[in-house]
Amino acid sequence: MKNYAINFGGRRQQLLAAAFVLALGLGACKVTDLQPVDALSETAVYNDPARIALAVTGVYNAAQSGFYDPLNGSALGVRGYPFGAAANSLGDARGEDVVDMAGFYGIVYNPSTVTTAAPNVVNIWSNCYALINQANVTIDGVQGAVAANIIPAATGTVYEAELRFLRALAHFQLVVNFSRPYLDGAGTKPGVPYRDYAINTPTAIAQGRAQDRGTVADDYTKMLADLDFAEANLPVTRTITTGTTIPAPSVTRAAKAAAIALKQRIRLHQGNWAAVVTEGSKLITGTAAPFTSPVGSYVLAATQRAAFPGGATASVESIFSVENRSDDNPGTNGALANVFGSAASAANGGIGGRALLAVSPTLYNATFFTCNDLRRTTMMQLDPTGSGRYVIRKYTDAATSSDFAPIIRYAEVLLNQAEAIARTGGNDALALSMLNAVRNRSVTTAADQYATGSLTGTALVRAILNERRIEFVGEGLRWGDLSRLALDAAYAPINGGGIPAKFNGNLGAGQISAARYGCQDQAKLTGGDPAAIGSVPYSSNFFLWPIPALEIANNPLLKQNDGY
Amino acid sequence: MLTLFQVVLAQTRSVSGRVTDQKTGEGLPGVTVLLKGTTNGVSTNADGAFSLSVPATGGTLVFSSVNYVTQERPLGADSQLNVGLAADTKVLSEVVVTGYGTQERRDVTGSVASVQGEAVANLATPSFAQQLAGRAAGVDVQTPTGLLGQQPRIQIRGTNSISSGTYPLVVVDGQPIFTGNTSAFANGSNPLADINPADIESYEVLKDGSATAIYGSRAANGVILITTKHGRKGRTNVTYDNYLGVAQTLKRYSVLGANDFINIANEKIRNAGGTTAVAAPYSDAAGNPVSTDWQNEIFRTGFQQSHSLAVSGATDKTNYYFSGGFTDQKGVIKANSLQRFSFRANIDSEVKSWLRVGMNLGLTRSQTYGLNTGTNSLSGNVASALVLLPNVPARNPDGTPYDNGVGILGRGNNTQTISFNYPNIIFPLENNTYRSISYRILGNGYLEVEPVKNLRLRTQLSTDTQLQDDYQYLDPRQGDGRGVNGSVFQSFSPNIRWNFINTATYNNVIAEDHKLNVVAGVEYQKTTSSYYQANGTGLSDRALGQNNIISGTISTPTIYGGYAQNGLQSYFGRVNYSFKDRYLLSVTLRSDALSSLPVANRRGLFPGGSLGWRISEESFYKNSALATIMPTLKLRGSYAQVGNTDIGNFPYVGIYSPAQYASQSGIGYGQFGNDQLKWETSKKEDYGIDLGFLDGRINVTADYYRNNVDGLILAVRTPLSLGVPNNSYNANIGTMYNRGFELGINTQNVRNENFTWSSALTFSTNKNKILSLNNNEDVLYTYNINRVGEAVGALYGYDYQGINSANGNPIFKRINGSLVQASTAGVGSGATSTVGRYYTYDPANPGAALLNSGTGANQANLTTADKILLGQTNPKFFGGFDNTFTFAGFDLDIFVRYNVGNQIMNVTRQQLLRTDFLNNSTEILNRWQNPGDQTNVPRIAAGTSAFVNQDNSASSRFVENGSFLRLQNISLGYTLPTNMLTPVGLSRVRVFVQAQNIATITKYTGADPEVNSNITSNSQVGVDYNSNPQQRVFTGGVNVAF
Repeated sequence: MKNYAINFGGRRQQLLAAAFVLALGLGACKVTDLQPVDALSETAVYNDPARIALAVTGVYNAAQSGFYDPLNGSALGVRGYPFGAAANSLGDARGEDVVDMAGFYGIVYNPSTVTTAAPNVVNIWSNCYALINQANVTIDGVQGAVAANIIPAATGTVYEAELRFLRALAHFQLVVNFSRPYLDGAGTKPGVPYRDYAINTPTAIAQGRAQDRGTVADDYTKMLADLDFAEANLPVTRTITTGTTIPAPSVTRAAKAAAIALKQRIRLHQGNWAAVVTEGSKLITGTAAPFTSPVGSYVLAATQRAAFPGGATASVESIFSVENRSDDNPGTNGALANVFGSAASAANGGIGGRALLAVSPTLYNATFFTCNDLRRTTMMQLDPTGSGRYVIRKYTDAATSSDFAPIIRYAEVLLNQAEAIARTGGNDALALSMLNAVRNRSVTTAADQYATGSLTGTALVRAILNERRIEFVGEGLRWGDLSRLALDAAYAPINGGGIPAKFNGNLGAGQISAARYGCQDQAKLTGGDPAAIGSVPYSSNFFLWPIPALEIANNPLLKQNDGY
Repeated sequence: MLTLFQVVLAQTRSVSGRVTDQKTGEGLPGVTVLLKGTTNGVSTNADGAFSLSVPATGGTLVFSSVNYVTQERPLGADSQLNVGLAADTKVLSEVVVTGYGTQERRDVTGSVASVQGEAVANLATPSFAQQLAGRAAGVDVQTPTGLLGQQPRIQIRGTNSISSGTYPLVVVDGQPIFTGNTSAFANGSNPLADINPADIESYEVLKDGSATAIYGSRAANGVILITTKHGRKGRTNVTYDNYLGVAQTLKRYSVLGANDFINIANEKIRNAGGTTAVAAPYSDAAGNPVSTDWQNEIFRTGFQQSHSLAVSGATDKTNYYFSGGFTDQKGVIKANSLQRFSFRANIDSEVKSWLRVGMNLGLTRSQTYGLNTGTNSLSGNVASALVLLPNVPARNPDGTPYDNGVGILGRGNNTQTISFNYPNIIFPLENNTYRSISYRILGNGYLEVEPVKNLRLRTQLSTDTQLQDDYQYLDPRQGDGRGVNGSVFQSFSPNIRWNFINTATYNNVIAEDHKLNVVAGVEYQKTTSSYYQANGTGLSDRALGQNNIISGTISTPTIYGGYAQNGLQSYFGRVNYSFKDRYLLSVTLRSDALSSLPVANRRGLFPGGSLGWRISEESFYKNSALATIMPTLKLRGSYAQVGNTDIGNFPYVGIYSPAQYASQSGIGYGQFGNDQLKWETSKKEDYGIDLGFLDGRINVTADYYRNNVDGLILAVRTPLSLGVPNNSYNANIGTMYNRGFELGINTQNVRNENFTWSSALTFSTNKNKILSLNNNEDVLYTYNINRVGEAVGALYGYDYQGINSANGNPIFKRINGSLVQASTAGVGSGATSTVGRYYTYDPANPGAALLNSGTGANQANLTTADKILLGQTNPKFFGGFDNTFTFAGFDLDIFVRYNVGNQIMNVTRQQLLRTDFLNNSTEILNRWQNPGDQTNVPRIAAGTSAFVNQDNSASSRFVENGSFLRLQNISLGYTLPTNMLTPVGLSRVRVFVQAQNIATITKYTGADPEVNSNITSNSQVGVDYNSNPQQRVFTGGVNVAF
């Protein structure tokens, strides 16, 4: 009996020993020795040329699809912030030429309702800066890779050039929305912090927190410096290897002309007409249509329709667009086709969009918008939904939201140039010729066209400014014009500058219905209910967006805009 | 003498009968049946039967058994005597399950609350967790909505972190299980609901440092141990339990009917400068004006049923428990249902005297049908139903949902389409599909050997394998699927955890006075969560998208995927020692290494210890007068450091994440790294006292605890303008504490043979305070704030002071004490416009004109800096009061729950006062209309409510007291007498009816004070935003044992 037990006892111990060796041996499994497999370590990016290329592309992603967060962290969704769509739609929604039809753009559209927590405002601010830091961190990495001979200096310089272009673009978006225009005190008003260093270490965080807003002029200086670098180092054309529907040369990566054109736009905001002309001249040859660009061969498309082929495509007129695709886009809540497009189904002549921003009668009925203008007859349509409203047809793919977001078109270069030339009074004929190049492809009725020599001086400038409203509606340029013209006594949109009165599309048929629209019919603007959203003077705090409360809470150094 | 003796013999007779468990009706083996005052007695056999010779003249039989209340029965004339014994609740929990072992309750020095599974098994709830609420002191369980599939929010002793997880560790039969939602859909899966409540024997909630320290780094939020049922010795026991019931919404929202809506809508327009009415009545075909109650279109009466069948038993060597369960619950929310099949097999076998093997295996298939409940989604059921226009019909005469032809609610005779383009909610509810199917394998097997006496070596390998299959169909005609021409989405996400534990346990009593229990072990755990998803839009035909993605039916496919893993490796040990049964000592040490931390800081050491003194065992006490009324008195104290592993998979790594730029692949800076990241530790102290009065009929347990959380892993906010990914990084910054007092009182008020009444009362307080944050800066959320010196997630917003009766403007108090009024003007232009502006409010001259400039200018500001704290969101105290009565065959249970001192930001109410073209709550009928009106609702003008009501901010106007007293549950059962059952071969039949969520006393005006929009957030709590109301359930059922 005893032997029996001992016998088994020995085997028992073996069994146990085996079990425990097995248990402890599992230490070799190293269950805790894990690394992410769904992302790359930051230390494993800038030592590999292919990954550096991916990182540079990733910065464009930050331009295209930053997060939108209406619920403060619990509802992150992509809505094309900042440049995948939002800059376009918000730039228009801040102005008077579109109407917020359903309330989605209410806090942007009705200036007096903006708050320090307004999601659109918070997200432009945070996503522009997210883009900026992505660019800075990547610039830092690229420079390190060049120094370490991982990539050739020439490659690194091109990368840095496109990243500095994006950095300037983002800062421009910020300074135009959150600061007083350059013309107010020649840039002496508070600007936005210009971040030009990588923030990926605790030291850099401390540095960032110690930086104040600076001045508007500081921002302009630094944007121009970035763009000068970009111009000097970017290639004339870009091709990308992926994707089959993208025309070569690609417009979705920064090229030399994009840097020049953005500089031209910034100079326009500075009121530095000579500098506008200098930049524009690099992109324009000829004295009469067709104007072409010696850099990149940009040219106006035959019609505006051709300039907006719809979907994931660009045209010869596109200088820089932000790319979208069916599987990566701002979605039904943000994509341009969904926001601007007709709600009617394709069978009924629409695109199944949502018509959240319709054309305002203010623009549609404007006396300068001729009746047979193709931009009215083919680029706008009546959306019969509700009481009826006219909507924009520039964007066509509401089903998969793939329309590119236009950032700079050749038409803008021409109108910027025309305005600067007309402002300086040096060559009104050339300015008118440029205006007509853009205008006459749409205004095909001879009687409606501006004859050579028919416009000069103030009238010419005004015609160019009016033309911008028709040509660029739906592209987000309106806010920039309201901002830069506010202190421009002769051309201010309203007396003393400010945001003009608007119709309220969310206030019944008395405000917006098909009956409200009529070609050059001013009576329809004043008949019935007056425009329900009053004008906001330039002096009002509502002229500027507030800096988000979240920023102020964690960055006490940053001074809030007055009145918020 | 002789004669007398013969007489006695002649008068002896035999009494036989059966002793059963009063509640289950099962025969009780081993019950001592004794003739009182003699040594004449027997024990019952395996079936509970006995036979005993007794004097013919009478006497009294005493029936006694461990764990049952002793009964005395006078002998009558009958020779048959059946007795049902009531379970003695005071001793039922004599043995408590602890981490990696068990312990006698008398020896426990930590704070452990126990709940018997029986108490909650028959309740119709989405999961057992909802029923733990109020039953264990210190355990706060919130049920945020009546949705099936909804996860409850469980907090043990307060919120113990800011950025890391605060969910307790849940351990089932020794294996840590998944607890979070693993579905691609909100409320798609609730892993706790995969466990059939009928299979649960008991719950133990480990609360203090000492009890939880053995779980080391996973213990910061407490531990819930669940033990499933095992067979008991005796004959094979077959039970069948079921219930059938109906459920309704507990409360609905009060919104306007058509007439009021039309008046209000037109008034909004007039006040905003509109001259044409927008709203007009709409009549149906019969000429009757339409007034649609949209809540009838999203809520319904639910039907719920559950069936469980179990076979269990044990031989000398082997015990077994097999069960199958089916539950089918149709929710009170349309389109919401839960169906669960569950199987369980638990077997333990003593193969040799020194070898035991066993396994516990649970298989479950849970299918949840959900819906879009997004709080601000256009097709969110409540978000939509509350604001849809009541003066349009719900359906066309042909029964189809009434719409405008392009996916938006029809406008009837109104001149405007509904704001925000809300669709008709009927359509998505009837046509869209949100289906989540979870396949769950919860299994473990163990082998236990005893190489030498008192030493047991155990190895246990377990897995929690959860395979989640989600499918979504969005109809192309309306709602979310319209813009994309129909959408199908399918997701498969396996979540696999394996866990390997080896322990050595030494148990001995040395020299009678030294009781020793030593556990040492090693544990490995690895968790892998992955998913792949496919989405297709542009569906070719609706019929081809109903159940699954079908090849060749979609025009735009998109695929997604992800993979995450996490590993934990530990060594641990514990010594429990008691001397003379009086002086108790427990020391625990655990060393954990977690893959989520940088290598240098990966391993953490978590010590714990506790002391206990059973004063009542001291001779001086035993001899004192106190001992007669209070025979039990124990003091306890513990301290431990524990950690939190719920910190994400790689919070310290600086990473580049995939960043696709449309057609171009990219990577982007995705997380700010911090290679200094280390464990977040909690230092837990607990001081407790256990008292027993009157022969154990009254038991009192009281604890005071302090939990200091140190080096919080805080998602440190960076200014937005730095552009740091996620605007934050993880660092060990911040401290906070939770302190509180807990009381549990169990009493057996009456325990006669025919009538028993027992009560259980729990009472818990908790005070949370943040002691430091990054630079001590506020962490702001939309409605909440984390601020040093305040409780986590406090509400934060504007100080509303009422209405200026002269003009209907709301008045706010600034931080400097001055009063400002917000203009309710809806129209105004240029420099004199008052729209969206504030003006000083002079109580002496409320009618003063609002002037922007010039003489008398009174323009003012109300800024973010004027926001104040508006209250804390976690209750100050809470608990429950349970009373159980048995009378003859009847049993009655009444359970009341209370929760006091928390505030709720009622965003739903704020949103229902919007002045867009939407329906409103009836509260808007009180709006200011004419000078002199005394009301609390400002003047209404279209387009102004975001400003006037301070949307996207909290305001004292909408912050309400969330205290409540709830009659949570009443159940009444009747156990049929055994003599009716024996002929049909049943051993027990109990029928019961019960009602849950019967009544709630609260001042809260929303749908329910327990709602919470963000249950997974620690800081964004106490916010009610378009929540689905709770359900009230009436059930009836039967428990049968064969």
